[in-house]
Amino acid sequence: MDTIQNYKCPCCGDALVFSGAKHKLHCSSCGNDYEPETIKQVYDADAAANTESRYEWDSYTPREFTMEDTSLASYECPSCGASIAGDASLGATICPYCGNTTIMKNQFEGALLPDYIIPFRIEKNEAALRFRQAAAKKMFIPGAFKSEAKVKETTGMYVPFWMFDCDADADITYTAQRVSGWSDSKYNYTKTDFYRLFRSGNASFANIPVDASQKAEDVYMDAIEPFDYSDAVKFDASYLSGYLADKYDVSVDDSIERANKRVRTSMEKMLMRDTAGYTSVQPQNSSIRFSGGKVRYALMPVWMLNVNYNGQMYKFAMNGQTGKSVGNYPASKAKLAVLFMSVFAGLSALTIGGCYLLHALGVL
Amino acid sequence: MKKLFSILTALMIFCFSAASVMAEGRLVNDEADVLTADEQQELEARLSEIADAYDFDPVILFTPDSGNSIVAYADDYFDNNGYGRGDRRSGVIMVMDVTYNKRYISTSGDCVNAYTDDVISYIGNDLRESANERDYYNLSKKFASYAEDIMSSYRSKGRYITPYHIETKTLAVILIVVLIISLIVMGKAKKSTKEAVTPVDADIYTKNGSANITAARDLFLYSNITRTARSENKGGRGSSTHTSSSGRTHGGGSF
Repeated sequence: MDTIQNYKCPCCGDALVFSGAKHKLHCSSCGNDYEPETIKQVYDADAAANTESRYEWDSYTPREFTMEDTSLASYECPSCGASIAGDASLGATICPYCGNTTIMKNQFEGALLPDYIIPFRIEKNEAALRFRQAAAKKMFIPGAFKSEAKVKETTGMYVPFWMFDCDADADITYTAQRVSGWSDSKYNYTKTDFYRLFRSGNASFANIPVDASQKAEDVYMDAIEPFDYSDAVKFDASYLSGYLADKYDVSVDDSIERANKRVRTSMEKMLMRDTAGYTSVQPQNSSIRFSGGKVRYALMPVWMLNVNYNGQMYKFAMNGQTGKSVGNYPASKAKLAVLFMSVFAGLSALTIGGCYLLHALGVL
Repeated sequence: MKKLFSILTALMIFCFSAASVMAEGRLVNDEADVLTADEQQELEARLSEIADAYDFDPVILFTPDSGNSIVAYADDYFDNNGYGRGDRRSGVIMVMDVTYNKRYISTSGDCVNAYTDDVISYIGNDLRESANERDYYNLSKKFASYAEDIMSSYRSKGRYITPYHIETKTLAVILIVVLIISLIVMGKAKKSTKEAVTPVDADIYTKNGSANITAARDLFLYSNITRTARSENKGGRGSSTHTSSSGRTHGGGSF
């Protein structure tokens, strides 16, 4: 009997020894036997999935916005500190982020040149109409909100986004169990088969947007995704006419982790989907590597709506291209209470009635 | 001819008298002398009526001594005294040992199927109260009433459905689970009014056809087998049976 000290039992972690009689690796602690080839493959898979994850992105070199069009002005909000570019002829406006009405108009001092822009497709009037249509479909908001809420201000704004492209490779190992059972006259038997799974895969991602403005709330900007990139065009200052345009104040480096996280989650989900057929599967080790990472700077069209209801302001954002509207509506306590009572009473009656029915049918 | 007529008349009178004596003492057997004559008569009439209506023998026996085994005593009493109607000798006997307060119901023929373990358990809960109070007349009336209900239902529907009451503990569990589900549903409804949420993945930005699984290995390592003893089948909706000393099959149970 030769001792193989390098291999440890996948079940209990104790050292495996080679049993010449069985031609298998044997664990004297838990009594399991393994094919040597299986253990070798487990170690190879673990080694691949233990490789350190790498997230490689090209560095982004900003280009100056050399505007010859002097009709642009810079609007500063003394309340929230937002600094927004816009048409000098916009006149009195309110801050799209905080609703402050005392906006300071200053000399435009230049900005970074976006790589591309998606122009507005939804007009201002249509934005308000779409908001009302979206609100009308909400079941659990106060009925009065649908009729009485006033859209106080609708501001069209180009919001800066970092756009990330990358190719990703992933190696992940999993521990998995498959449970089966049978019975004889005396006992119920449960058999649990233990597996080590290894999955490798790759995928390419394009135009993952990450909001590059501190003032634009991430959750709102994330929620109005996706944009239709077939409308994206090379940036031209003429698209800004009549709209505000925020400048990025969140760097690529500060944004990149959000893109990494989303790609990582997608890769993990993709490989996990390929492990169907087991009773339970748990990820063990994972290595995800990005390559060809590209970063671009783009402006996306967003309608910011400030809605007044019952003396309180509610913020909504709408995708200026697709019309998708998002916001946090007030919830109707009365409707939620009715829902709760209905579900509680209905389910209780169904369950208790079901017990009586099953008893009458001889099942209980 | 006159003599022959006299003999036949005497024979008929004898047979009628014998039958009357058997009928009076057949279904209610008060060897412990715990019932009054009027009570016995009333119960006998009631049980006879039920017996004829549903074609089985409902028998009551009060005894001062049921021997070592009340089960064997009940079975043998039923078998040896010719109880049971039809080919299957259908009948049920309730034996009450008044000295040691032991009680047993033994069934035969169709009554084995009608008096399932659940049914005996259910009526036992009710009969036990009267038995413990030594209220033998009331115990007998309840037994007769259940005998009628059970066999009436068995003859017409194939089974007697015991009234169902959800236990307090079961009801509490149901209500707690329903409460949790209701809160989850309400929570989801409330959440639906808050649309500003961050997506967790980049699935919609995956390039068409670019997602590939390039390697997949499933390595079997080892198995574990565990076993647990099966719980004994106490009859459930069926009837537990045993064989009496005469070799006949009986059901039944204590209460």
